Amino acid sequence: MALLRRTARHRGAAVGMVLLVLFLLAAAFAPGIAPRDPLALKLDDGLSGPSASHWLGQDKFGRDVLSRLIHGARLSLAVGLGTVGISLLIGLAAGSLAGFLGGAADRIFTGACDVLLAFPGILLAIGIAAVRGPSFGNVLFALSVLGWVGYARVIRAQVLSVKTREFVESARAVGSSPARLLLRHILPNAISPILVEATFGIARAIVAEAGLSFLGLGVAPPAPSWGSMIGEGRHFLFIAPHLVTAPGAAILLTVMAFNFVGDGLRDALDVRGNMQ
Amino acid sequence: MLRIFRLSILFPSFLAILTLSACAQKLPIDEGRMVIALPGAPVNVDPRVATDAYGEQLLQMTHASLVGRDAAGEPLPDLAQRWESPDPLTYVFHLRPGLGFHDGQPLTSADVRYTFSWILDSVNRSPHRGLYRHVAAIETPDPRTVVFRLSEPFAPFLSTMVRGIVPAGSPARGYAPPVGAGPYKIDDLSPDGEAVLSAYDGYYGGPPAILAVTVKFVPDSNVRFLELKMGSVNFTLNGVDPDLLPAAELAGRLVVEEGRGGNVTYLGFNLRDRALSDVRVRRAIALAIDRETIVRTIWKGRADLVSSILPPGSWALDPDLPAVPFDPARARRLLDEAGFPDPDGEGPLPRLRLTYKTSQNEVRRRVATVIQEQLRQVGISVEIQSIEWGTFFSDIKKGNFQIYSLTWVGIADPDIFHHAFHSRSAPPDGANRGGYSDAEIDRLTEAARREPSREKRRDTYRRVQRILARDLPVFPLWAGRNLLVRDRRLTGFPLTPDESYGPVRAMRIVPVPSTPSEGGRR
Repeated sequence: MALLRRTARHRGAAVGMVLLVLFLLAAAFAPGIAPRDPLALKLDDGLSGPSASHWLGQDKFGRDVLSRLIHGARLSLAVGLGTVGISLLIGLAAGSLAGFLGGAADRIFTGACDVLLAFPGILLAIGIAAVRGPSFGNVLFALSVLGWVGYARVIRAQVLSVKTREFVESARAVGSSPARLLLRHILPNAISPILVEATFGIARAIVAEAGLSFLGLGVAPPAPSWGSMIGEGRHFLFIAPHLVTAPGAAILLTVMAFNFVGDGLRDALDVRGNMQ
Repeated sequence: MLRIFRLSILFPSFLAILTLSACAQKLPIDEGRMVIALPGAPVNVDPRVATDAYGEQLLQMTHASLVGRDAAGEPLPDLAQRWESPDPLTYVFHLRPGLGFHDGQPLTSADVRYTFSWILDSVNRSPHRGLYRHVAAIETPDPRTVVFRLSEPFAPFLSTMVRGIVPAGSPARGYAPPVGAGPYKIDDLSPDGEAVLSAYDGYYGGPPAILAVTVKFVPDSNVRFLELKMGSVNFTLNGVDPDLLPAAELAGRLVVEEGRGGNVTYLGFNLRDRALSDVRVRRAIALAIDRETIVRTIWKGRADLVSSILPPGSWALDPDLPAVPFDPARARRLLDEAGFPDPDGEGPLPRLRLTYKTSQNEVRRRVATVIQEQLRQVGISVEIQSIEWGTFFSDIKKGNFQIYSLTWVGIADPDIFHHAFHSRSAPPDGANRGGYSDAEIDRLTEAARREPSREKRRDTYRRVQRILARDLPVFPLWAGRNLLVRDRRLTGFPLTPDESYGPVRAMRIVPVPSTPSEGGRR
């Protein structure tokens, strides 16, 4: 709670948090909030602009853009949180073990990281999604395959620096088991930079998912995804610009919100900042 | 991967357009150049092996064949001035005098024989070989006479002579630029960019009036539209999204023309599938699809419903075929009868699940989305797989599908029924991809191709169409109309149902017609 309060003192982060809460609520209660069925076609109203009954207009199939946007929030947030969740789990495990064990394990880990980081992430994701076909699971997989490496490196560096501190030494001296040492003493003190990194990671994953969906490699149609809404709408850029602006703005706001919160978190967690 | 490629095209093209608009404009048409945009790049520009639509369309301008085709699909003299068939097994073609290829070499009967012998040589693995398997011998009694001898009567033979002739000795590789005897010669060809053509002085019909033609390969529909508006493209056939046509007309410099189309889009069913092997399920799917609404909204009315895979206007078409109506209630009853009851009434559980494969073409994806929703209304859950063309087509040929949608392009002869539905026409020998088998169809399609009388063939093919309408191995959907967007100064292009680019040779650039302003005529 204290961390939240400190983060909220950052003005941008406060805005970001409000936005995020709104998006999360929209995602959680999408079926209740969305004015219409996001999949229901009204073909004869295709490409209609914003109106009183359809605030953000209708797409080529006459589907309500606002409802699709709200349901799309589910997908974007799920991909963002899911990818970062999976990446964090793998990254935490691999990074902390490498840092804690040191020696050969660490050398293999560092080597593997360097190799993996040399892959262009989004291209690999496009390749994976193209081969495995469009689905939610494949998007998560494609984005997590390399996503964990960054976290692993950060956590390794943290573990390396924390494990030489006095409180770890003393815990070791009183006979804590290595597992207890890592989980109870080192990790809790090494985790804060990861939180910041993860917040930005969610934003990156959302953009990546939008990119994949734009290319038709995201979640299978007709599920509404912001990226695929832009992809489908771009063909009508000249006659129905609302089809791309609405989901574009949604992506912009979400990513901005996560980045603001990330900035706030970083400032709040910055020890030097607190001492001033 | 095609989409990524499209993107990589999109941005440079945007830049190009920006730079173009920045300079003081001198449009290609002002310099007498016609710029055609094709919606894709040709896979192949060798008439002996090209099977893709874009390759064939380019070849229609650069290569001449023995026989041409008029708007109704009837044979017309091209390189052959006249021909006769003394008996059903012999066709004699008489070439025009003084024919020559782009490189100055004379075109003789030896070149004709070489072209078809090359296709027939199994070593060359030409995809067209099957089409000519009835050719037993090709004789050249003199340089202007070619005699084809057939092993058995083959009524559609003349329609297969629409194949560009190449110079004798043309290698399979390194045939570049491809030399032909058509009205235009290829000066430069960059596989993913454009083909630069110029008028061929030695063309037998006299050189075309428009001396310079560029054919640009522009896969992205937005870019095609922008280039048209900018004037860097001034002619495109079926290259503009139906939704954008009104905006194209607004541009003032452009005119839109519409003509009957000959390309029939259909749904193909896999009859080896447990559910789809039941004709009641296939009929239920057909009854559940509201084709009229799709044509009205997705195609903006620019397509006509069909009940046969023959192009509208074909002489063999059965005009009295029953059309499948839109009747979701009957569709549900048929599914009940076929053993696919709705597990939970109004609930979300489907009666059955099917996958629907389609290419990545934008309009096809839209059609798939609508069909998916319409089938959901009768309790069929459809998963759309929109896949890259190469993979898609290879899956279809392998029979790796449940439902797919494709379009028959350039069908000239009803022998297509043998090709698509004879039980021995499974790929690679034909296009019976769904595994349909019916003894009566086999018998009728075999008899019809041996029958010289058109009247009798017509009767036979009507019976074929009745049986197919009963069995629905495929569900013919509609024939898209041909839509031409051109600069108003480019005149003289007759729209033909088969989308032929051959008539480009008869076009001219006229000075801006001094029409009274639209307002004045109101």
